[in-house]
Amino acid sequence: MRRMHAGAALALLLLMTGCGGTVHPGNGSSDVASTTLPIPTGGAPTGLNHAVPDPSVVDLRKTRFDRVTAGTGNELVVQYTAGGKADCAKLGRVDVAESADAVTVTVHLGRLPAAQCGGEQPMIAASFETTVTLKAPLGSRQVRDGAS
Amino acid sequence: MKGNEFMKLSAFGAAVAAALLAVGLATGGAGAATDTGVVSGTAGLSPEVAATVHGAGVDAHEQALAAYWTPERMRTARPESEIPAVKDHKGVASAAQSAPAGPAGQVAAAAPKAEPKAVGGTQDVTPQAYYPNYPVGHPVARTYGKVFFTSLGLNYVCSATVVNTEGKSSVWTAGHCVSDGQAWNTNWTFVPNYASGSAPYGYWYAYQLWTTTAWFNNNNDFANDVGSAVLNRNNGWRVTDYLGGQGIAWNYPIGQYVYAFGYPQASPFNGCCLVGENGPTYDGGGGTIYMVNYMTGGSSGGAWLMSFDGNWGYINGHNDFKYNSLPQYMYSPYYGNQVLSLYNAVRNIST
Repeated sequence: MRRMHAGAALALLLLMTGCGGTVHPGNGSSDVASTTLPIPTGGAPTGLNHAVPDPSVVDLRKTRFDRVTAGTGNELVVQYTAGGKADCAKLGRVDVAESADAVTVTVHLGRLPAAQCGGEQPMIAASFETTVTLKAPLGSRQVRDGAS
Repeated sequence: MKGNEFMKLSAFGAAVAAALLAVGLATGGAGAATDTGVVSGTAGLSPEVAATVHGAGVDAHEQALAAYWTPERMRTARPESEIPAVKDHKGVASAAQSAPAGPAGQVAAAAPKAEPKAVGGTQDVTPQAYYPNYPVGHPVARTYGKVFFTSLGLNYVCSATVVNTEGKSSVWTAGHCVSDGQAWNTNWTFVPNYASGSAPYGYWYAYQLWTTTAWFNNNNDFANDVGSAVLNRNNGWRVTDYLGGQGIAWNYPIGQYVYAFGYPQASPFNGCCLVGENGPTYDGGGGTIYMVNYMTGGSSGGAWLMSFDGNWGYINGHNDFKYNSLPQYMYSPYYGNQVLSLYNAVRNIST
């Protein structure tokens, strides 16, 4: 993961310094636009993104998680996938209900208050991990999805 | 795929093939050759290679290049010699179009020059209605791939499809898979025949990304949301020489029966495997078309194949966008002159 973050930072740097795009479209003389890319130094960007719940997110909807794994100590690492525009599929809240034999995790995605999400949603997707803290280590307890 | 479905599909393919032959479409090479706004067949070839081209169209061009790129030349080629000549194209600006606005055109699919060798095991997916479960190496499986890229600091997934061009180096996808608008995505990687984390044909990195100027300037202009990536060679191979490429068609009427494939990753899918949907297209308004198609985020860029024969077809749409209120419908730009312009821009580029 650390290498992925470094790669993303490098990509951002390249973009900011103008090395990532060498063609300047939109001058009205051409109906196509292009750029030339370097080969990614960190390989394919297959790493998970990291998310932190944002309490300002509105219109929350339950979304099934992809995977839940025990982290260190009392931590639980929750993976989920957000489709469509980034501002329309933000992590709002992760609910955790614990019992002696099970932990129920419910991921809530929503939109940023200013985001317009009624229109077209491009069918891209981004997968994230976020960490929640339990009252006790997961141990042998079963994990259930509150969204399914 | 269930047996009866396959039968239906094969019968359909045969009928379409017969229909194509009847109207002479299947004989068409580069349908754009007479259009003054586009490149002609031999652009992008060095003079010594161009001199060896016999005839016209994709195959003649391709054969000359294949003859030129002997294993010896590939081994000794210096990087500078692989930089393609990219021409600055001028063409008619694409307004939103939802009916043929010019002659219908198409370029046929191409089988690969190589007999691709996949590494790794077989697919391990749960049989479901929407999983075609093509074995590794099936023409559909190996011409479709999962795309990984970075945009504004986040890693995303899309889908893309190898398209047949003279340059044999391009994949076809959605515009938003190459540009979020005003900025280009980075770390762009195509993984053909991706299956449950395996990359049986390796990782192919983009050399160039292309989209319409209309989309680049306005990321709400979904009628022009088409894109292409020119890929670097992998082990000396150009992607279409190695895996084959699907055909492509533009300015056909809405209502084609299409086969859509892609790698949906958002719930209820998980991005592991190729998913298929098929049905007729309908007018979505504003220069768009749609079909019944339950794929989700991650499927963007996966081509809709018309005249599909079970292996090969013509790209005539792609998974592009949905409205949250209508999850059963997948939309695509109508493939008109904007597709012709973009295809012409990339078709002669060879890495």
